[in-house]
Amino acid sequence: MSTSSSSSKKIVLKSADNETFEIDEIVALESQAIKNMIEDECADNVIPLGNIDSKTLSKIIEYCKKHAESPKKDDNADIDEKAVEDLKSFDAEFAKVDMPLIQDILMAANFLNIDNLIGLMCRTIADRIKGKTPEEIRKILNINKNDLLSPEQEAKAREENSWAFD
Amino acid sequence: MLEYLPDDIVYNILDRIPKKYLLRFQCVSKPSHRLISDFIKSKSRRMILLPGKPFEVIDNNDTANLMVSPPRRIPENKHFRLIGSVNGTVLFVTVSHANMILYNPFTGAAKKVPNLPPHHGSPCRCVYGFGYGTAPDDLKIVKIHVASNGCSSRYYCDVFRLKTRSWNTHSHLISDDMCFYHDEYNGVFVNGFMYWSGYNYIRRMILALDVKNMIFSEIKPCAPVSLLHPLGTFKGSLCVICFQTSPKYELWVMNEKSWSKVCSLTSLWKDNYIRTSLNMGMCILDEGKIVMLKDSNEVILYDMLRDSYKKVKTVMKRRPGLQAVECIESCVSLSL
Repeated sequence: MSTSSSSSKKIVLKSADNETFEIDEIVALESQAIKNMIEDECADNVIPLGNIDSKTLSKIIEYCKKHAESPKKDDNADIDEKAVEDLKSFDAEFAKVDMPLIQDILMAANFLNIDNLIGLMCRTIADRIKGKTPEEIRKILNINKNDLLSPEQEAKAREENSWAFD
Repeated sequence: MLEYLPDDIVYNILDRIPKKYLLRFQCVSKPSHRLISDFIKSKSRRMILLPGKPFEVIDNNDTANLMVSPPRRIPENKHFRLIGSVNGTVLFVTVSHANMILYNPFTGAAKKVPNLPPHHGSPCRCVYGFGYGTAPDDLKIVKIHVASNGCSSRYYCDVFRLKTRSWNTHSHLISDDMCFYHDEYNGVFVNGFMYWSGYNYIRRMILALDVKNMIFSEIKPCAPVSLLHPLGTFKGSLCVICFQTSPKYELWVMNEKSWSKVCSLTSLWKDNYIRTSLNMGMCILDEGKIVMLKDSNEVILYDMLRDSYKKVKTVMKRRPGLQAVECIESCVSLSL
């Protein structure tokens, strides 16, 4: 198999639920893990991703497509500001998903080693937690009742850190 | 849900959340409580707090910076003595001994300790200690001072318990035949005990206080030799710098009431640059460094294990005789 990336070259990804996605190699290269596989020539025609379901995988492909199309920052000192803005608003829209999906995307992005996407998802979770009360955070993260601190433990934790609750 | 994510991902998320919100997050659930406290611990930096106005810190990179948030409660134009630091809370007193202030240099929170009811004698010769018996939330401030009425003198020990916000005075805890003539150095807090260096007549001794039971005892130093001040901790044990009869300095630690030698400090007497600062020790850092004042605006960090030193220029000038404290960053608020 050729290691050079020609624009026409296609890669097929197979999700855990056996759905296949044919994508341009340039899109697949957004994933450092897939890039390594291709470079090491251990990628067959089809790359099976046994721990990523099709819903998550299609989101990830959507992200990689957009980012592969956009001019890279290190390509040129003269970055097109409009393109940067465009990518930013894409990221913002992309992140508007529920927490379980964010978690799935994060796990998958970690597995596929897509740095920007990991950063985006981490930032999204952090932004949702910032400035919230413990009650609100419990709702956001859907915390199991059995995991709650006892009223005494919570009172103690709140008292020890009372400045954070002003 | 965070507990199901890999550690580096979780830390990537937590890194983006300001400390204040992390502390709120800590109350969310049992797993988050564990997670956040581990995270904060892993992130907490050690720093050296230098006295002065404003305070100055020497950080991990051995550079000195003025404190960003000087405590608002510090009255203007007064000198301060730093006494000690427990779990990120620092205790300092005004040189006139009138005010004691607890301060978290990390959060900037400061609280004044209620004044000690006036009693016996002049407060000129005092030593202090700051620590706890068993539980870290049961902090005690200990102030020992001597009151003399001409021919006889008596030790008084005032104890402030943060939990009850109250002062207690004990006058017979240090027996008169113990004859503790103290150095003016702060007590060192180690593992439920506070230690002060002093003299029993002309003999060097260390006064120990069992903080939980409030019992004083005398500890014999590692060798019948001079101790160089101040006392300190080395890897969590009480340590002293000994001066042997020949020009020879050594670091000794006490474990289970017995002393052992850690290393010789050759440069302390061979290198003229630091030898001239020997009596300007500001504190000993737990990792094994002595902080010494060199000039009014230079501090030496002498690494005892490596027998080498670093010079750190400070922003402010400071006079000799004041102590510094080692402080670990913490978000714990002041429970006063």
